[in-house]
Amino acid sequence: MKNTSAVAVRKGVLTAIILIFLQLINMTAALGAMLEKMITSAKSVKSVSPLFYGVIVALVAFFIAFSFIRSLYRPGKPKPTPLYCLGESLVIGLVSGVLIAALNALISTLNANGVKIRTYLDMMAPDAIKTAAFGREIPVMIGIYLALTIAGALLGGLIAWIIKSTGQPANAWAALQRAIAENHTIRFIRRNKIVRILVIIAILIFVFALPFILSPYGISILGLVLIYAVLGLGLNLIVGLSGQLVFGFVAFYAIGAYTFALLTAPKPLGLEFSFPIAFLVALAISGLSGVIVGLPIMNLRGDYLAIVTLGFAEIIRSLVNSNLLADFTGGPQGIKDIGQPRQPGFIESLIGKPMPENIYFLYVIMIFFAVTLYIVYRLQYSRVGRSWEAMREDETVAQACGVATSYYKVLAVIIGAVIAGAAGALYASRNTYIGPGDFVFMVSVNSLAVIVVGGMGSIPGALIGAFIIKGVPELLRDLENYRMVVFGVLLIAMMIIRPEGLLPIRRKKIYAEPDKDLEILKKELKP
Amino acid sequence: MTLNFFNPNKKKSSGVRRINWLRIIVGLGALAFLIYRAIILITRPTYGSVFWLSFLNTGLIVGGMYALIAIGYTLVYGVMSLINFAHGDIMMLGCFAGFFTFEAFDAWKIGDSNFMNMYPGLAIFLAFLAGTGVSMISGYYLEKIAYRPLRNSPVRLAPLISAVGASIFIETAAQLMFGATKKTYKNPPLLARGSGWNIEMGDGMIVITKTGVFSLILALILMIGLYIFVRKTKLGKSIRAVSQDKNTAQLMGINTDRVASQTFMISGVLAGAAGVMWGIHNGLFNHYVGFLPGIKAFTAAVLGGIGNIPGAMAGGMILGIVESVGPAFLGIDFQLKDVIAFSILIFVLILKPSGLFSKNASTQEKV
Repeated sequence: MKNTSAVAVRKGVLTAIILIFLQLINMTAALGAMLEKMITSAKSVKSVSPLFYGVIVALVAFFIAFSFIRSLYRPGKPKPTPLYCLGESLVIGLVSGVLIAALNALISTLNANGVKIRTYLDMMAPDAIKTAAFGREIPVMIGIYLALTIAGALLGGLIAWIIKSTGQPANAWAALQRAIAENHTIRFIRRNKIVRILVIIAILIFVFALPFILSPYGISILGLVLIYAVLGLGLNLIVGLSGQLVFGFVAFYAIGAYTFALLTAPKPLGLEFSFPIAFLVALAISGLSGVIVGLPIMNLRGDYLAIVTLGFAEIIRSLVNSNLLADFTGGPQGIKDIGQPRQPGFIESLIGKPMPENIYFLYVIMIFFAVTLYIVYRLQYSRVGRSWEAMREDETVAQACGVATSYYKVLAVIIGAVIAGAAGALYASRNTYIGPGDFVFMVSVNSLAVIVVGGMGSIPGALIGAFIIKGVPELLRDLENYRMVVFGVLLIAMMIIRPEGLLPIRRKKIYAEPDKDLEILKKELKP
Repeated sequence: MTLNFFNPNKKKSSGVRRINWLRIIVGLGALAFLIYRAIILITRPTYGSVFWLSFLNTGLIVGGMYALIAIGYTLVYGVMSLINFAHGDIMMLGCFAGFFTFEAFDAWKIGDSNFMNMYPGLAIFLAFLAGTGVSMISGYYLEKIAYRPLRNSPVRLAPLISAVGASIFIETAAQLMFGATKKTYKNPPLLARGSGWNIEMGDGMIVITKTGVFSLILALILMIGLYIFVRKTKLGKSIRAVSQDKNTAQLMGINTDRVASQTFMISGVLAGAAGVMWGIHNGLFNHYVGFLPGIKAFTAAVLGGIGNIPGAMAGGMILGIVESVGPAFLGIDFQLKDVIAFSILIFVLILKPSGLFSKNASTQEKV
């Protein structure tokens, strides 16, 4: 038992480090403000009230203590007594409370003595320091912090003990699932074809009506999410299916966007092509860039491929940004007034007036998304898709089975590049302005994150991933500054806890069942 | 058969070496272009010799820093077969640690002077100690948190994606904590930025800065020290053993987990030193300072053959020099030096994927 107490002290220090980190980047206050907004339904919270700030502090201690006590229940170990659980939780709360209070005492004293902390720690403005001290004197503040962390940790330990000793929510959940599985009505509804078709029709109607339901803000977010989903589907072919890690996917995206922009914008070249022609040319050019990139890199594997494509993307960005091509690409200023698709006449005759621009464009994006979905789906379950999967699983074996690996690798890069080019052209047309700032490395990381979060090689995963990566941060605008921090942690945690993604691709498992198969064989071989 | 054009690396059992047309075309094309530029420069010189020497000077200084960072990549790749994508960000943390140390010494008043003016040598030493220490600790925890749980991950890309996550996390956390504005290093008077020796040449003057000389010498000392360390000590021996064959090393009683975390600490030390040098020499920096040097140092490591320590040192120096001489040589804008660095990466990987200095490419093909 001595050993676990030392672990408890370490967990306390961990809690304190998390708390200090959250305070230094002022995330505690942002989280508190979000909570306050949710609970009190206030429109905007200027400075978080001490109550909600404290709740966040306590919650951190709660979660650490909860997971620690849960981890004590291991098979083969004696079950800890409730008093022991509470004692360990107390240690966690005490250690973390002392440390975080000490930091705040230090910062408050420095602030009171007129040291400008903000020059070094950007988020530690005097207001933020005051909020973190709950607006009280130092001794009171230390007491509050200790009370919060100890209360949070004790509560966490208690709940973990209750859950573990009764096994309740898990058991109830399992019982519920069993009941659902055994219920005849539910099973009938699930298996029935007509019900299924009805559900699909309902979903289609809902999707079709969606642009009219949403607010303009919602329409713009949905457009962005769908563009990222298209990008994710393209990258999914390269990374998820054919197993080549491409880090510079933004290069193809940028090439598609710039080709489209140059062909339709009045400024640098003055071509002003119509939407379909420019779009097709953009696809062709990005496909060509896929060939140019794909040929030299196809002998590289894994990490090397990642870095080379990253270098390629940086080359494209530097070239676009440079003065060398400024007359051609607009340089750092970018390209303005990019063309948009014209509405066909029948829409106006159908509904009497022209459709609003943003709604019409959302339909255009939806159509392209559907087309991409169809193409990718057909590819995945074709000979080509199976060759890609074989290559991803084991290149040597795939080669031995007659898969021309080099050909299929380049093919994956080309098709992925065309899809990315389409996404880029749509993005350019939607925004009517593009510049070098739109094509930074983060776009590559985001599109990779889309498929990692959704599940490698999984098509519905790409849509879910795009919604999580692009949609959720837009919805949580309060946490805008912090989303990249959270995202980084999420990537690491996801790789450790659930590396296959949220909606992993389900593979048909084929097992040989020796006894059964032998029986069948014997029957079939009987004369 | 036509596919063999795409497939130059496949070794045929017959032992006949296939001619790799792609490599030959690309190599000859690049060579022809370089010769063409050289002829143009000789017939119509646009820069005097002073310019070339000062470009070389800049290249050597930057190259030393690249080399230090590249060693970190090479060591980690050798031991864990992993590109430590967050290595540039560890360098950035070292840069910040040095900055805060100098700020503290500047604010520490002793009499009517301050600590930095009174003991400049000690201040520099302590700043390097802080920078290397912070980078070492962050390297240790980086390995422990982001890479160790993924050692036996079923998903092949998991460690690399985790590395990207760590990189994003460190960068944005530093941005939020310390602010996005660029900061300026406060150098002690001993190493004031811009001061140095002016050397008169025929048609001009070369400025050799004190910070540059200091950085280059320190980088060389650290590199030699590391080389001796890896060659002579027991830990160095186990690092070499693990990078040659992990399983056999384990059978010989080497704790590979411990070697991995110690490797991360060593590479952190070198990156931290490079970070403080970067700050002292260039002055301006922010949370984004590690990104480009990180990728370029990786280029340098590939250039020298990844897993090869002297190769990484040479690769860093070569990359630094090429990057600063290249734009003038090719007659293009100096904005495009990054393009040159990354083009070198692509060319090396097409022409000689095992790196310029690899001896036994056939047995240790890591691509």
